[in-house]
Parts: sequence; structure tokens; C-alpha cells
Amino acid sequence: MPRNAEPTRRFGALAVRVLSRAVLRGTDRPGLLPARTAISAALLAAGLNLSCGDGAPATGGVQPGTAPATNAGATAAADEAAAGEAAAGDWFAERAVAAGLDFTHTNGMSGRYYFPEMIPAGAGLLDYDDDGDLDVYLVQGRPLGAGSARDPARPAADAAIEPGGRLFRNDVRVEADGTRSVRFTDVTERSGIDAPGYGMGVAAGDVTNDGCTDLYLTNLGPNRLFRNNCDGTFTDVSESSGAEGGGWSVSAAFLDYDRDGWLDLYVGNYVQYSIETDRPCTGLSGRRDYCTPEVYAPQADRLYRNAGNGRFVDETVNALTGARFGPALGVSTADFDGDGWIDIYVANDVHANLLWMNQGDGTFRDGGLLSGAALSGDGAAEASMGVDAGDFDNDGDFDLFMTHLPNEGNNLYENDGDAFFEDVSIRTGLGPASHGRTGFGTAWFDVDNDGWLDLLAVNGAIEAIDGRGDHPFPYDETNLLFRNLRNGRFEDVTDRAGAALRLSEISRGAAFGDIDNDGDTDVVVSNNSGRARLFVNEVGNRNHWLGLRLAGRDAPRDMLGARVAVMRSGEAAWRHVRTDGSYASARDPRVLIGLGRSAEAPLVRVVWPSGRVEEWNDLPIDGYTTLAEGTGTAP
Amino acid sequence: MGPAVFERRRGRTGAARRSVAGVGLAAFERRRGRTGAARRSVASVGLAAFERRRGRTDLASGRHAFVGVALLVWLAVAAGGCGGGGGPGAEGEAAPTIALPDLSATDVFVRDQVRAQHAALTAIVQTPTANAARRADAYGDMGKLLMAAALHDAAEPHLRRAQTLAPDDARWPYYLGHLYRTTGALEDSIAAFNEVLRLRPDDPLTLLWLGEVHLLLGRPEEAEPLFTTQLAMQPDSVVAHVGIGRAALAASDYARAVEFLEEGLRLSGQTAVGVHYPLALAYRGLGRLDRAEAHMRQRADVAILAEDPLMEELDTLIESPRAYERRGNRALSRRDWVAAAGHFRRGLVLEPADPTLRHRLGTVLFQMGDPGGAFTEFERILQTAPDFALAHFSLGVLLEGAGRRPEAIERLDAAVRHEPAYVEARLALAGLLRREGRFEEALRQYERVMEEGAPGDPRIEEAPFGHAITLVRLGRHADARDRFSEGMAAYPDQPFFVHALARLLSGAPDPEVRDGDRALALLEALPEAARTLDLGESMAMALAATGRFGEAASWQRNAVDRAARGGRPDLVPGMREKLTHYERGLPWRSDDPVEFDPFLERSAGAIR
Repeated sequence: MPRNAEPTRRFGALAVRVLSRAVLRGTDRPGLLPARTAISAALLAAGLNLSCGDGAPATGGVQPGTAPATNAGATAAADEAAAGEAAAGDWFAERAVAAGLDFTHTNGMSGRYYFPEMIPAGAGLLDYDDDGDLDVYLVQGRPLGAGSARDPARPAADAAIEPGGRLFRNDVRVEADGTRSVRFTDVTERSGIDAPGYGMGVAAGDVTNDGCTDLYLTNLGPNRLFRNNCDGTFTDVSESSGAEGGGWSVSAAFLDYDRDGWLDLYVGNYVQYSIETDRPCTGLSGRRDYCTPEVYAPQADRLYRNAGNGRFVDETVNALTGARFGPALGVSTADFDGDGWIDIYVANDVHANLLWMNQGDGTFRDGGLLSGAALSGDGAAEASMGVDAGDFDNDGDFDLFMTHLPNEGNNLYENDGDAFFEDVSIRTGLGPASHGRTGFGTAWFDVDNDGWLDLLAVNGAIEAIDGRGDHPFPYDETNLLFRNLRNGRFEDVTDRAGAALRLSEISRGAAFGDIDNDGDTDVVVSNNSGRARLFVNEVGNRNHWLGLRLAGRDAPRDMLGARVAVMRSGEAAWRHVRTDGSYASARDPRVLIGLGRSAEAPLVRVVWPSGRVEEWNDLPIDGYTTLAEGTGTAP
Repeated sequence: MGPAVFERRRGRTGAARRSVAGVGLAAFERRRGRTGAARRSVASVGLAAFERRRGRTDLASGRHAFVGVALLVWLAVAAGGCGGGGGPGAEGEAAPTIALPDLSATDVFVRDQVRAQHAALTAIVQTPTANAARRADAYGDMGKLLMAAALHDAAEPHLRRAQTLAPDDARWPYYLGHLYRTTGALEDSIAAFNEVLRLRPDDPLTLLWLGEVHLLLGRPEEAEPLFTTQLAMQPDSVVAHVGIGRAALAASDYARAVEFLEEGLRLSGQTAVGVHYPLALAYRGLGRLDRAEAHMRQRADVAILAEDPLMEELDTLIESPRAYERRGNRALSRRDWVAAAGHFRRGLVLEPADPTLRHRLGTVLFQMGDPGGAFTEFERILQTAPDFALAHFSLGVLLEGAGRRPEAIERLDAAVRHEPAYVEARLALAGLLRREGRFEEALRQYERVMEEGAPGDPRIEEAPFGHAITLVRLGRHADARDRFSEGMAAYPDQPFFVHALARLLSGAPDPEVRDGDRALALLEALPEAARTLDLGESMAMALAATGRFGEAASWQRNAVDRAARGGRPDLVPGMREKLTHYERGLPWRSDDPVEFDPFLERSAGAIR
């Protein structure tokens, strides 16, 4: 056969198969249909409610060149008034500006409704200077497309914002009377962090085992890895580390999946997107609005193995096979089946979520649909933005909570211990109570230290909300706080939590941790096109608590993946060490366990990532204690 | 998505879980809207008939309504026009101003339509002689239009006003029930649907929807009796069976869930594929994982609903290009080409330069067997939107089908130039370049896809395969072997990588590449059915490569027989030539031992 002649043989069985696959391929990617069905590709780009347009500007609505005002500009005064000083009895007080956490996010919007504008931004808590309190990194955006910071279409207030995320050092002060205050100082320049990209999220972990927490920033564009020099400065090692990636990443998680003592990295990627191929989309009423992820093809996630020499090796192809990547927004890690190997849960936007079950041999297997956690209880792939793993029912396994769109309601998946999940969103009351909100950042945390995990979901729409009159950027929503009633149900206590939670903003990231070291969990919320918020918990430490930092034996770093059981009266409450979860955010790696009214020191059991199990008795309560691996007693 | 391919899986805003056909079940289910706004209803019963009765109208259906209106008039007059009453005089005299909703963000078509409806409403309200029923209809029509445009906040007061003016008209609380369900005000939705039931006890549709809302609220014990009541009226109701099954599942009564879900599936003639997911979970709850997995494999994101004429009417209200586009898409999902073309054409009357609508029209024409018409529409798009990549791609496919390959390459090249991330277009371009013997260019295109794609992503599996085939054509057999091996690892469920690699290992001219034992081992590791993917020729080649000529000849004879009987006599001569080799105790050697390309049928599909 001549080399330049293509064989024309065809095989019946193959033909049938290929054609049927061609049809199937149309299910999830507009513009990717082959042959006969391929011609119909554009049809897929338009859906029931949001259609992909033609490249021409939409009539009506906000047009290019008439940028909507930022949420910050439009509502800052009202927000401040709403937040104000916490009234007596309020559960949270908003203290960002008072504490020096003065930061306003810009999504760079120009009125062109570029898809990435609605996705950011995250926030990170990390003790970068190892002084015992949590510092804050806040992600920033920048103008997209042909516009520039001086684009006259962009509001002056927005244009004045410098690109690049900001690092704020925390200096907690404890007065003689025991009162505490946090004071943040912007140390970005002196830290050496220069991250002018279009930021999405934050992950934190010590990748060099030197006891200093490093910083990984996800972007639209290449990601950045900043190595902590342990002297208050960072070095950008993105390229040399091999973990730079590219495309569009949102959430990332550090974990030691191969138990070699070095933190590896999972990066959740969203869709294949570029400004050049941005497509205009419209809402049901014809207004121009942000697109859905179905308009673009998903971008595969990445799993990087830490080689221990400052370099990461991309093991995606070798380690993650047999599943179809979706547009990832949230990532949460935990040992879901209790086999001692940490697993990875990925929340995908409108695609089945992934549950990567660690096989213990350097590979993962997707738990698939049968896990029950890939889809909603009625079999729908939902929006899945923020996610967190926690043992809400104190039965020793890690359950999953996920945030969704207004008509989906948030989901709680209860783990049966073998990584089989049941959607109990409705039964627990969480699903119906979250209808009408678009959830993003979220976490399990014990707001009142009663020993049972509660939930906060920060919200903000992704499509313009009807009925807002002439509101220039009608995407803001209020947040939701749910209290665990200890009987399998949750109660919406948002209204009781005070003015801070009544702020209506376009919230995205939420980073949870004890920022003032007073024994309860505070929250930093990053708002799209708005001010960052610091919600200081005012009620948690009215109960007793136990604070633990779990450090390695050979490396003085936080032992992400370690599990902690606090046992009292024959019952155990399990928590785990992680910095991931929520949405594009990094949390406090310390474990804070509420003890309720009991002042009795509990028995603490730790299952280290290495598999070692140790116990401690008589740990001091109402304070933080560092537990180093190898210093406990065998159970 | 088969016929449903054209409808997006989940709409982002509201429109939602649209209904399904009737009890006939062929089109029983449709895809869900993204935000679930609404599982639009169902059933050719109940309110549908009710609406027909009342449509001709309250006056016809009832003296009660007339008496009610008269009473309201009397009350309003007696109250001295205290406002908000429903008497015609009250509002007519006050000549109230009805606020126009905020339309600043709607497109011009919706805006004009709402304004016209608003003018009509205002005129009726300000007409002293307009009775309450007429004004209720006017408010209700406005509410429906706003609801159809997803302006729910604006729609609600109009529907409530209609309900106040016509308290015996079940349509208004019915629409309100759906509106509240869509916006997540579930308790209000329950109250509204209960009001419908007060007016129309045992209305089947309302029973189903009320049950659905109770399920959403986590109240299976409230939901199940509603489904059961509906089932008593319609014993073969798929929706009621599934509702009871879901309620049982929510109550962890897995055996009962299986019973009713299986029955629902059976009654639907296995078309209610949305049942598979809850059924899988129910079987999982019973510990029957094999059954659970079997159903999970068949699941689809499809809501199981009954026909709902009142809600479907909403879909017809908006007159805009996007609305026609949606209707066209739904027609496409039913494979109703004629209706789809009609919708797209009507949309194009409103917006002639809309490339998306015109592309869809071209697509429908192609589906209807009119490639010439399709070609014309695609070319028209490029006159006004020369950057529209989809039109370039579609023209490329049509041109290749017509044998005009150089022109096809130009169009496909334009498609990827205008949209670099358009993977299908790039794969089509790569394949065509390969078939034209432009191997180096083809390699670059395949490599670009692989660089930007996701490892293991089924959508780009053609890239490593095509890349390897191109390497074979270039005589780079060792490189091709490695590429096939990588493809095999990335796509372990795709046996054609194994076949291609086995053929290369069996018949490559390069002895360093040839490895008959490995070829045979690869094929023997395949499931039985996958070994004859290419009619069994790979097995024959591998057996011959290992010296097992008798078995090779046997496999090849079977392959020849299958080809002859399978309508492929054109393949038989070449296959007999190989058979002769094996019968003579010779292996098959070739510069191109792979020969087959499972993706070639893709472009062939357009030729027909």
C-alpha cells in the first residue's frame, strides 16, 4: 500500500461503535460533536436557560464599555453600616477593616462578562512566620481582555486597585485583662510574593519539610508556588518545581498520598478557556450574563508527586485513570474508607463529582457513581462549588457537604464508613434550607464548641438576580449558618448570628481558623468585587475546648491527613488535619475540638498518616498543645 | 445525547426540569434544566382539562364565579373603594398605576413584549366596565409572561393579584405553586398547591407536584399519600409509582423503593431512564451491588414528569430569538426536524443575522437529508459572521463528504484558527490531513490536541490513535508502537488500541518492533467479544506471527466468512490474500500492518 494513501477499510462493528460514541459525545461538550452530530455542536452550547450567543453583543443589558460598578463601590457604605459593631449576643462580629485587613477584590470586569470574572476568589490562612497565629493571604484579580487598568470603561475605584494578591501578617495581642485583638499588616512587598496573575485560589502546606508553610496560588494562567524561606520571605519556585501547570485552576490541596513523608499536590482545574475564545451568553430573558461551564470543555486535574528534592512530578496519567475529569471547583481530602490512605474528593461543576479512592500503590480509583457522592440523590450532576469533609454525626467517618445553585440546594452526603454515601440533604434539613442561595465557600466547624460540627456556607450568585431594580451588579446574597442539632438535623441560625452574617455580598472563598487564638473558629471571607471580611467568633469559647497542632516526627510540619479522636464516656468525635476544603481556600491546619460544658480532659487518639496510632491523656484544655508524632503512648 | 443531545443537561437559570411527554411514554422524559427551576409538569389530566373547561370560561363554568364577582363588586362599593378589592369600580375609578417591571436587563424582544402586555393590563384595569374575571385574566397573563421570562419576583404580585380577583380560579395558585417551587420558597409552594387542591380536590397534577415539594422538604411521609392518591386514580401512572418509590427510598425502606421503582420502570416500557439512579441506590441499600451497578450504568439525568399543559403554555409565550432557539432545541430532542426548522426560521425572522440560530437551521436541514440547504445556511452565516468557527467546521465536514478535500481542509483550518480550543475541528483537520498524505502537518495537529487535552479524556482518544497511525504511515514503527502503548494505558477500555498495537507487533517490517508473543498476549487478555473487534484478523495475524499458522488460518477463514456475510464483500479479496499466506505457513508482513482506523467512520458519516 502506498504510504500516502489512506486505507479505506471499514469494519462493521467499529462503525456502529464509533457512530454511537459520536452521539454520546455530544452530551457534555458543545462544539465537539463529530460528523453528522458535530454539525449540531452549536445546539449544545445553548441550553434551556442560558444560551451561547453568536459573538455579537447582546441587545439590552450591560454592554461593553458600560461596566457595572463593583459591588464594593455600590454597597460598601451599606455593608459597613450593616456590619458595624457586633451587638451583645451576636455570634460573629465583622472586624476586617478594624483589624487592618483592608482589601477589596476586583474581578476586572469591563462589562464583557468574561467567564472567569464570576469564579474568584479564595482566601488562605497560614502561619507563614511561625509565630503561632494565622496570617492571611487574599487573592486578587486584574483586568481581563483588551482592557487595562486604565480602561475608561472600568470604574475609577476599581482601576485604582493594584493587581496581585496580598499577604497580611497577623499580630495577636493579649491584654492584661485577657482580652484579645488581632492586628493585620500588609507585608506583601517585604515577603517577596509577587503574584500579579488573575488569581483564583490558595493552598497552603510545607512542601519542603522545613517547618515553614509554603503557598500555592491557583490562577487563570500558570499557577505559582512560593517557597517559604523561614525568614518572613518567599521565593517563587513555580517553574523549577514543575508544579506550575497552566490553563485555569481553582482549588488545590496538599496531601501525602503515597505516605512518603512529603506533601503532594492535587490541583483542580476548571475548563479550557482563553479570552480569545470567550463566548457571549445570555440568560432566559435575553440579558447578557455569564456562561455556564458546559460552553467549554473541562480541563483535566493534575496530581503532582513531591519528589522531595524541590521538584514535583506530574503523575496524573499514571495515578488517576478510569474516570472522566469535569470542571473542578472544590477539592477536599480525607480517608473516606478508613483504610489508612488518604482519598480525594473533587466537586465538579455540572459534571459527576469524583471520589478518588487511594489504592495504596500510588494510584487512585474513582469511586464512581455507586459511591453515591458523585450525583445528587435524584441522580443529577449539580453545580458543586465548595466542599468539605467532616464527621458531622460523630460516627467515626468523614461525611461530605457541598454547596450548589439556588434551585439545587446544598448537599450533605453521609458516609457509611466504607465510602458509600447517601444524600441526606433533605432529611437533615440542609437542602431545603439552602434553596435560593448560590453557595461557595463552606466548612464543617464547631461554631459553639458543643462537640458537634456545624456549617457555614458563604453565598453569591453566578447569574444576575431578578428584581434588583437598577442594581448595577445584582449577584449578592446573604450567607447561611447551620447549627447541628445532634439528632441528624440542622437548624438555620443565620438570623441569630448577628449583623455580620446579614451582609449581602458576592462571597466566594471562606477560610476557617482560630485567628485570634481564643479557642473558637473565625472566618475570613473573600468577596468577588468586594471587601474581604473577617468574621470573629464571639461565642465559641464560652464552652471548653481542646486545641491541637499535630507535628511530624522527622519534619516539624503540620501532619495533614492525620486523624484525631477525642474520646469521652465511650464516645469518640473524629476530626482530621487538613488545609483544604471550602472553595479555593486554605484553612487552619490545627484541630479545634469543642468540649461543651465539660472541663474534664479527654483521651486523645491520633492516627498519623504513617499509620502509627498514639494516645495522650491529661492534655490541658482551653489551650493549644502541639503533639509530635512518636511522643504519645500506644493504645 | 441521542435525540436529546441538543438540549443542555442542566440549564443554569430556572427553566428547568421540563416535562416529559404524556402517558404514551415514548418521549416520556426530558433532560433537566440546570437549576432545576421547574420540573414542568405533566399529565394530560386534571388542570389541563380544567383549564379547557374554565377557559371557555368562568362564566361558562360557573355561576359561582359570577356570584363571587358580584359579591366582590358589592363589597368594594360598600367599602367605599377602599382599594385592593376586586370590584371593577374600585380600581377603575382609582385608575391605578401598575408599575412596569425593571426591564433594563432584558433583551429588546422580551422588553417589547412585556411592555405591550403591560399596556394591555393597564387598559383593562382602567376600564370601569371590566369585571373581576377579566382583570384577573389580565393580571394573570402578565404574571405568566413575566414568569416565562424568568422574572419571578415581578411575576409573583401579578399572579397573586389574579388570585385575589378570581379566588375560584385554580390556575393562579397553580402557577404560584410552581413559581415558589422554582424560587425555593417551598412552604409557600405547598400552600399554593394546597389551595389548588381546595378548589380542585384530587387534581392529579397538583397531587404529584405537592408530593414532589414535600419530598424536597424531606417529608416522605407527607409525600407518599399524595402519590398513592394519584395512583388510585391512575393505576398505571409511572410518575406516581416513581414518587412512591422515591418516598420509600427517602425513608430508607429500600425493598419498597425497589418494588415501586421497578414497577414504574416496567410501566414506562423501560423508557423512564431517570429511575435507574434511585433504583441503583435502593439496590445498594439492600446490599445487591450487582443490580445497583447495572442500574447505575443506565442512569441518565432525566426527570420523570407528566405532561403539564399549563406550564407548557408558558414556554410558548416569549417571542424572541432565544426563545425560539429553545423551542427548536426541544423539537430536536424529539427528532421533530420539521418543527425544529420552523422554530429556528421564526427566530431568524426576528434576528436574521443570528449565526447560532442559522447554524441550527442548517443542522436540521442536514438531518432532514438536505445537505445543499445546510451548505447554503452555513455559507450565509459566514457572510455576516466570518469568525463563526462552527460554520467553518460544518462546511468542512460537508465539503469532505462531497470529496472536495482541499476546500474542506481550508474550512477546518479556519475553524481552529478562529477557535483554537475547538478539539473536534482540530481532530477532523488532523484526520483529513492524514488521509491526504500530509503526515507532518497531521502530526502537529494531533500533538496540539494532546498537549491541550486531558489525559484519558474519551473525547480526545482519537488523537493518540491518529498520531500513532500517522507514525505508521511515516514508517516510524517504533514510535508508533510506543504511542499505541501509551494510548492503551490511557484508554484501557478501548480495545482498538490493543488491536492496532497487536497488528503492528505482528506484521511490522522492522524486526526490532515485531513481537508476536506480546501481540498474542495482548489480544488474549481482551474480553472474548473484543477479540473479534476487527472480525478476528488481529488474532490471525498474531497467531501467524508466533508460528501457529493452522489456528491463524482458522481465525482468518472465520473473518472472511463474517465479512462476506456481514455485507462487506469488498474486504474479502484482501483478507483471502492473508489467508493464503497463513495456509502456506507464512506470516503477514506489511509497511502498514495496522490498516484499520475506527475513527474513519466519523467523517464517512457525513458522506451519506
